[in-house]
Amino acid sequence: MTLIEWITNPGTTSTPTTVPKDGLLRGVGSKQITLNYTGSDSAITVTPNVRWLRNEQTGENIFTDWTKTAVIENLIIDGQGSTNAIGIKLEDVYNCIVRNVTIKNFEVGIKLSATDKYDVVGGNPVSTGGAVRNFSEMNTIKHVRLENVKTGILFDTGTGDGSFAFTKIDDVGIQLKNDSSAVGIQVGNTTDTSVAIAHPYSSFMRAHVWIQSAGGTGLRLRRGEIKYGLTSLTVNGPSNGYGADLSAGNANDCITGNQISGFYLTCAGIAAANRVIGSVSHDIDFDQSY
Amino acid sequence: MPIARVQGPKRGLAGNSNSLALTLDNTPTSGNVLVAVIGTFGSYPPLVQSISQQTGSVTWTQRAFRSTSTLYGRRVEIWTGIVSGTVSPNLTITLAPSDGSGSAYADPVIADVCEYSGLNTGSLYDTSNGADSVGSNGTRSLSTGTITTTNQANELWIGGIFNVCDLGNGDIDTSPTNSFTMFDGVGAVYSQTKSLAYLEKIVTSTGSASCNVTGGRYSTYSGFVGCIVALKGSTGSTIVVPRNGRYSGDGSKQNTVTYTGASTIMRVEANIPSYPGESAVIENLVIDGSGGPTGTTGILLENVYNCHIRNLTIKNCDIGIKVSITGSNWAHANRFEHIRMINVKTGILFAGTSTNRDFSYTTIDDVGISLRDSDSTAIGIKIGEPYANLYCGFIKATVWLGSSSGKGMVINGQLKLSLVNLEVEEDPAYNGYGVYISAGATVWDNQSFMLTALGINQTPTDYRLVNNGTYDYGIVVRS
Repeated sequence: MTLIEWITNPGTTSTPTTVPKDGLLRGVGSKQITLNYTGSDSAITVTPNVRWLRNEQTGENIFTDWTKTAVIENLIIDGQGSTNAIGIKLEDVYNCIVRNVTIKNFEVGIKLSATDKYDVVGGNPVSTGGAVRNFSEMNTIKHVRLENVKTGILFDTGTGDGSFAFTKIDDVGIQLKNDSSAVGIQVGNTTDTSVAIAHPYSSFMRAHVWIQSAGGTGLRLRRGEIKYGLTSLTVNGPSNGYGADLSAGNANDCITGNQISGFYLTCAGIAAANRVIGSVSHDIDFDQSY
Repeated sequence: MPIARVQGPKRGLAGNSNSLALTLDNTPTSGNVLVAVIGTFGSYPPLVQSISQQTGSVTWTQRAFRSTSTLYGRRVEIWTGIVSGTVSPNLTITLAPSDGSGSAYADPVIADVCEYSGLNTGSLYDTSNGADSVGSNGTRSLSTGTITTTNQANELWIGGIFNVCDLGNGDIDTSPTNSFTMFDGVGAVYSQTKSLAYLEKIVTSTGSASCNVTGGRYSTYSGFVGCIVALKGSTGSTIVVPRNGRYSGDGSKQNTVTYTGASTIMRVEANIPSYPGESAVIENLVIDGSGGPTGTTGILLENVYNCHIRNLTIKNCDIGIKVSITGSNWAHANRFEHIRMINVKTGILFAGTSTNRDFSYTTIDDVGISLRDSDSTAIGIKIGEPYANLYCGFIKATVWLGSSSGKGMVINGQLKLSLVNLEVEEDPAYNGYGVYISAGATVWDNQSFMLTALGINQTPTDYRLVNNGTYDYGIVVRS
């Protein structure tokens, strides 16, 4: 296990910090350490642990390293001065835990994505053009606060297989940027039908999203499916905000087959007509205000 | 640290002497307190002039006394000695005439000495009183006198009764009242029977302090003197976790935080309203309130937002975790995870006011609460003391009522828009409740509320779910 414990602020940087696949990155105390990121990529990334390893001599694809998992905790990650940057990017990462972190002032707070890359035994990552597709499943995002982000959590298929199954979003608060296009949680990030559908199946999501005066959206599907899961989403916003936006027009977009009473949307301050928009299939059982 | 007797009593007895030497069984510990109860007999009974240690520093102070020269002259005194540094176990009590007609010689002088830990050496004395009786109307009911009301919950009450009976058969004192423990009280025959009773009670709440004993038999005359003193326990200190701090034990549960005398063992510094971006973590500990008085709280979150408490055992506390609001503040989004509570009167308590009571987004996940036995007021999770709104919360907890006849969950405020999975277990021989919705409370529009009630009585009255408030019948009850 690799322990990276920051006991003083690491300083302002435009270079991403990479956590080893078996690493624990944490700040001393709880929120005493702030990483200031001013670049245009990701403030923190994790080394992939579910990327295929290919033996080019035998043609065998080896699935390795998924027993090694990373933890990121007890930090403030500040993207003030960054350009279209991501707070934490988990790409081809399985079973990572992100907990007790505040992420603020980013274009995207946390991005889960995957690639079609594989590693060559003794060589460098290689793109296969779709022959091999990775995933980012079983990641836990817990007790996390996002502030002034345009997108809180983004499930982006990228060039992977689109599976984000068993993701756990638990006790996550997202305060959006004051931007009408801001989104709390977005599942899928394209209308391109050649891209695999983003599908966080059998996942647990418990989050609350605060929309600013310009408007915004609590949850949005964009070639995404939420199935077999348990969700409790609270969206606080102005009347012109949206609770769940299912209107992207992609054929497969849906929220179906979830646990009984398993997708619960609570909207506060949002106009009744804006709580759920779009005509795709969904089993959002409750749709109410307080 | 709770109050505890660490040695004694050590008894000393001397006839016709102006001093008394005795040796404790063990060397006293620095920071502890020695307590000496001394009785003297004489026509004009001598007083205790001083107590001295052979070596080292003990600060001896007289705390209470009672004396009379009527008929049988007799006197009882209570002294305390605060130990500092390394001291000798040998001490000498020196007597002096109590007035111009008297002598420094007592016949006999009796003393009992004990050592205690957990007392407040900086502010030891609370209050004292005394009583006496004498003559042919002498009674066998002997009293220390009464302190009407003590001033601190955790205290050591020490009484001393010195009596004389005109029968020289060496009877002993018996039957201390008010749950005091009596030491000595053995009659020493010096013409008559003289007895010194050392009376002790360690308390955890304020009250009226007194003790009676039944004295030895007498023929025509008897008399006693008694006095009592209340000594304050250490008030200890509360561990304060900074609002951006992490308080963690080594490993998982290798470290135990114990009760030190403060009513709250640990608290998190408030981050509301000024520091919402900072938040604290407490993890990997055992918190033990053993010896704490009524009201001892394991962890207090007052005006705290976004705190994370995980992987703890909290035991022997009146309240395990208390989340409270003062002023115009709030206490959102605190997370209690993987916690075990043992022998608590209230597991988790939400305490708001009529105008500020917002505990939204609280997470209680994987929390097991074992309530205090034989306490029907025990409650696993109490939402509202007197007010609390818990919206959009998550509760996954188990409450073991045991033999408490208490309640798994009591809702005095509002529980709405939440996801709840609560299991309440009880021995069927008892009469506890699963979920109790009080008058004026609201349970409404929850995503799901599953109550699994095991062993809770269903006949003749169903105690699994009792509703006296506003309720949408959204709780699914299973047994």
